[in-house]
Amino acid sequence: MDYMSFARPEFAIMLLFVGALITYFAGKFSSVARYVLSLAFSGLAVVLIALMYDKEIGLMWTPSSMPVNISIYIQTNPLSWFFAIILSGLAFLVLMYSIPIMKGKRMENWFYTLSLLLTGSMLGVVFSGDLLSFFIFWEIMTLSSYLLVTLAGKRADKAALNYMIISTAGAYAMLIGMVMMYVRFGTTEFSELAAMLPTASAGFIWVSVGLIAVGFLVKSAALPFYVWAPPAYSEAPDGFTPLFSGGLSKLGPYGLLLFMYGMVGLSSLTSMGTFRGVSGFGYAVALLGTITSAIATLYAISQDDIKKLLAYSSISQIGYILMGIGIGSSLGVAGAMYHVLNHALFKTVLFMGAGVLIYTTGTRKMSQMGGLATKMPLTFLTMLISIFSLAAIPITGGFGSKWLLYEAAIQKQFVLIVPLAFVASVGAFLYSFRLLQSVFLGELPERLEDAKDPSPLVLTPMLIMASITVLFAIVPGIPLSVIASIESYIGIEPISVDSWYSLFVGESFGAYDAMMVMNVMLLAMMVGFGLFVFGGKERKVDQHDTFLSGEVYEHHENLELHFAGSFYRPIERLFEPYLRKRLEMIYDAFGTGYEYISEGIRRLYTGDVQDYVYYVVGFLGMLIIIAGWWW
Amino acid sequence: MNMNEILTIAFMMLFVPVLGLFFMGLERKITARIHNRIGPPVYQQFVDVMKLFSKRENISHSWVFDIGPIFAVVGVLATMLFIPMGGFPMLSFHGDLIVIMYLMVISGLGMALGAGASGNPNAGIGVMRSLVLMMAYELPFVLTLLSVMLYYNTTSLGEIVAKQGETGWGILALPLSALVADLCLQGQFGEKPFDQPVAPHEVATGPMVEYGGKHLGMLFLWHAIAVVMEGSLFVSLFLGGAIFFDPSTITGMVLNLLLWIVLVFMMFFIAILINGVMLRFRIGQAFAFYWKWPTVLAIIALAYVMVVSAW
Repeated sequence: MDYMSFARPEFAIMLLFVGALITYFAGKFSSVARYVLSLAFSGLAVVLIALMYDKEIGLMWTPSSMPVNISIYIQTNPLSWFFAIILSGLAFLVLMYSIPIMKGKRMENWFYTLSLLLTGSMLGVVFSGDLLSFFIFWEIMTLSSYLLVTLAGKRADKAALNYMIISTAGAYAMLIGMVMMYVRFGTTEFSELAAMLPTASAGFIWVSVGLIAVGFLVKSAALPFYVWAPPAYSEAPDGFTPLFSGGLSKLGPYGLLLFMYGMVGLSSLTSMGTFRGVSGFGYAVALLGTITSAIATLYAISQDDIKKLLAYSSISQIGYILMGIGIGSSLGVAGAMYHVLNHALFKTVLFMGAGVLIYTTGTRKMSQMGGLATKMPLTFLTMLISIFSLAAIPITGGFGSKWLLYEAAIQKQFVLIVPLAFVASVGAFLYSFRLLQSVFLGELPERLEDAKDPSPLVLTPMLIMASITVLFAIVPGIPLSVIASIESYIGIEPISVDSWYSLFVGESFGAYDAMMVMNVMLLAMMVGFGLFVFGGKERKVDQHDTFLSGEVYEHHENLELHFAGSFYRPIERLFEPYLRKRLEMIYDAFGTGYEYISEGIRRLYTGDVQDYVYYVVGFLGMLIIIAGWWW
Repeated sequence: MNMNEILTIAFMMLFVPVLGLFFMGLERKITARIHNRIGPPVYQQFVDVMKLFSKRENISHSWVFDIGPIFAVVGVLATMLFIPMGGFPMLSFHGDLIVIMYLMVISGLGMALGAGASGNPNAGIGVMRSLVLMMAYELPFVLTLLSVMLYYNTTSLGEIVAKQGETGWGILALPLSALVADLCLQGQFGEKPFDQPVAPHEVATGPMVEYGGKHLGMLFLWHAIAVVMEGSLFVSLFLGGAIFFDPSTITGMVLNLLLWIVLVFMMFFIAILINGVMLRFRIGQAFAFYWKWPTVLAIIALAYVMVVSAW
């Protein structure tokens, strides 16, 4: 039998669902079987999806016993393939990294089962071709990720519950939007809806797509809904956070791309009203994304918890993706999708690194680490490359996507969005340097004397992703040519990729010659290293052999000082009055108000039968009065 | 790339560090005259660099510590090549303003990395201050850049210079933007009142505190190149890239180069004069300053450009 015939989307999903079940039972007996099986299933899924490249295959199944005539469509197209390969690849690498990190942790067997289930459902979301299966897979995904967060133990319960409640609210909004579409058009299939939606009125599109978009904005942790993300990302098990932030959060942007451009279409979006050449709907998404990005950055700067810092950074970076999607020009969407890929690569490495650091040092507080660069050189190097990519330094892939996003925003003359995005990006230098400074640089505490790099199982995925990040800095054209084909699939003018090495906008609007930048860097490096070697020889000194203006270094037993402890105090002090009014307060006030009303309602249930009889009689009397009024 | 371009780049890579060291010597002399001192000779910086590179033994804390000065020089050299200099476009058509802005960060981050690796608290404080200062001046600077980019409808610095050649220098068309850019330039140069990162009396030269020998020599070169580079960025944005004479003739080329040196030094001279008489802000004050007046002015300048370009 031809092996290519297995390369079908439904097989990939089934493989992971069945794999989750098999891994669970096999894992009961042997932990080695659990590791091997989970790696095998997720690896096989990557291979299957890779074989699906540039194909459009699908499956339609009409259940015979359904009361309504609804069919299930599972299909692959360029857009789904792009997200599927990222998600499945990440899942495989994260599972590999989890083997040493999660060893002996609470409910280890469930971790692998749920991870495979989650991966399967994420693939289900991107491969589904109709509203019903999309929603079902979406809910399996939310549920399994909720369970994965709770695996961390009691401390994570509140965070997980927050995540679940806000996700559920988003899912209800999404469901209402989908039902509206089904009632109006009588079909759930994406391709039929794509033909019919543009004929609907602008109001209908605003409401239905807007409601569905709420669900996606919740998952991508955009502004009014982001409150779940920092606690959930930071409390989740260390083996799950990389996939949570690197992979799962990308489904929000996927959904927006699918519904905004794949189904409604750019032309009917712009016909609903435009702002400086960008659809009003898109502008709202872009502005929301940029504001999210700026605010999350300010919060990230003042974090001491490594996972919380990365969580806020994650929210901020996804804000950039939303900005690109909202702008909706060929540059903007290309930048957004390229940033999806870049963010998946660098944020996964960073969260993996955070997991390694927590594993090594036993704490999440960055102010209790320090000086680890020389003890854990490979962890340092991979995280440094990822931080460069996060900060969009031109020797890493992260720059290409930020460049596209900025060009897109400047081309549209967005004078509000561009400065906000730039400030968020400079803020990224600040918080990423805080991470470097307090974890890898500075003084090495005595208790971390024998810290060392983790096992190859952890380092291999990190090194793979870091090297892809560097590779993309040299040849941004390779991912962008795939993205160009997706853009033409979803009806956006594809970005022109003339060469693998350089990007140009317009006649003379902007240019980013990646090859030239790399060549110049190499030349400069030769000069720099040459100068360095030209100088005299070195003498290594102890870390405490420093200039302290005559003060003598003393180690205080009861005093733990860390000079990156409250690193950015001067600007925290400036922003504090503004940041103190947190969005969480509104939600808390809502919760308190809800409890208060519920308490009032509870008082009606006195437990006295006579009272209930009064209620019934009163209600009947009211009915009679109302009925009498009408007739 | 043709032979001429390669020769220009090679020439500039040698010339700019020398020019920068000369400027730094002049700075010491001018500041001394303001303070009514005699000051060191103008060539003092060359002597210092040569002395530092010929030290027989250099102190190092770790390999990350060594990377710092190397990356500082690498980053600033790489950025320099994308900025039009001396009337030559250099490589500015291969990377636009956004590429330049992010390349400029490499040297700062590299040095911060090395300084942090030393484990000296003064270095950490200095790095924190320089990053905060960067975030401070970046907001008005980006708004200014945006006004220039929208006015000339391009993000390419080479193109901006070329358009100024046709329509007159940017400082005449966008005086307010030029003013804000010069305020930001004070912070970029790290001159008073924005010298908090170095602040010799408080944090013992901050990031540089642990460096000596060839490391410090490289940091001298870094500062020298950075001064010329930042000045040249301003000259390209607002002073027509110092192209005044016909660049197709040899005399015109030489005159343009001389004019460029004068203009870049003029920008540095303004900064030195302010530096000579000002006190230092606290870092919080510097941040509040930049996000207040220069930002308001930059927004007005941007609104002006929006109105003009709408006509």
